[in-house]
Amino acid sequence: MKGLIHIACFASSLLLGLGLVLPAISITPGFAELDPLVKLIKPEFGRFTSHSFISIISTLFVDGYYFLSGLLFVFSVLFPLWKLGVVWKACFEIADEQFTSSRSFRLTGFLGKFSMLDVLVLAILVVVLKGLPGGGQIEIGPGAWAFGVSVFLSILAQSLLVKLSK
Amino acid sequence: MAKFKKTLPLVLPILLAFAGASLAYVFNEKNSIKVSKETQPGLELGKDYYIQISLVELASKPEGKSTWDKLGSAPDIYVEIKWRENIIFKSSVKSDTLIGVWSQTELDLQSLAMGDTTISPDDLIKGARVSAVEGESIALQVYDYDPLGANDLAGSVELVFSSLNIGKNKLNDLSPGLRRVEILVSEVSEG
Repeated sequence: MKGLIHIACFASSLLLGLGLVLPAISITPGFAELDPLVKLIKPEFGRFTSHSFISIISTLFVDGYYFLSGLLFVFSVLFPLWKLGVVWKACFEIADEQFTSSRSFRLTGFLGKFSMLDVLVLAILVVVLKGLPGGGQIEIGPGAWAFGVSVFLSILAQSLLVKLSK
Repeated sequence: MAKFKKTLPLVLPILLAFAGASLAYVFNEKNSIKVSKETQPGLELGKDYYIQISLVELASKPEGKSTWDKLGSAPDIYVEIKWRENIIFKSSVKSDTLIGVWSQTELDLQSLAMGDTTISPDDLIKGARVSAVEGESIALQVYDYDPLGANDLAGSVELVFSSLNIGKNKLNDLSPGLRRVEILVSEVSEG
């Protein structure tokens, strides 16, 4: 089980980096009947765009949405890194048979639920935009998958650690 | 050693996440190069396209003549697009200019006033609709409009579909009278 925890921690850390930088959402605008006109007059409006979590956070910050970008930065970048640090620490402690469920370890378990917040927001966005007229296309990119799997693996590692410590 | 053991768990996720981010960055870079190469793709055979003239520049005087107009004024430029021996598009006339510029959409108010009350977005697009077929070409013929007599051919050029790209196509020094032509090629949206 210790090996599985180590693999989960390693994969989760690597996937976190991938998830933050790879495109998380791709949008191809559609204008229904006016599509040919828009493509001719303002081709930049119809251009395919993709965003990663990092680019979403930086765009929000540049556009003046400081609270939202700060919130996303804390829960998508800082918190997952801190959480992985705590889990890695616990891994090392278990190897040395010195593991004690610390306050920060318990706190990561509680706050871990909020890590999936951005994935949930993306899912809602996809559902909402798919219902809009115009034939625009929106797709979840590999960044969202990588981020989601990273969060899942960190939760798995943590629950295995709790099980192991009992 | 104890200090190293204490800091390693905190540094490890950062290092691994950084490695993952670097991998993703390299992947994104490769992808973006591919996208920029694809911004001016060639025409796909069998598909329909709009061919639009956005700019025509004529020489300061026509071949074999001293002036475009008897009164010394600049030419009145219009363009015809021919495909499969048929004139499929005729532009509006741009008066007294050596550089004619056309917008991609025009609304014919006269036909609207005459009772043609329905108009679709397709009707606004001022261009020729063609189907890209291998080996086929379109001919652009630029004229100096003469309301009293025959229109003078200022220059012409034949373009094979395989030589055109989606987006803006700039062509220079095509014939003695024709200095510059800019053609806009765009895909016809399906459905």
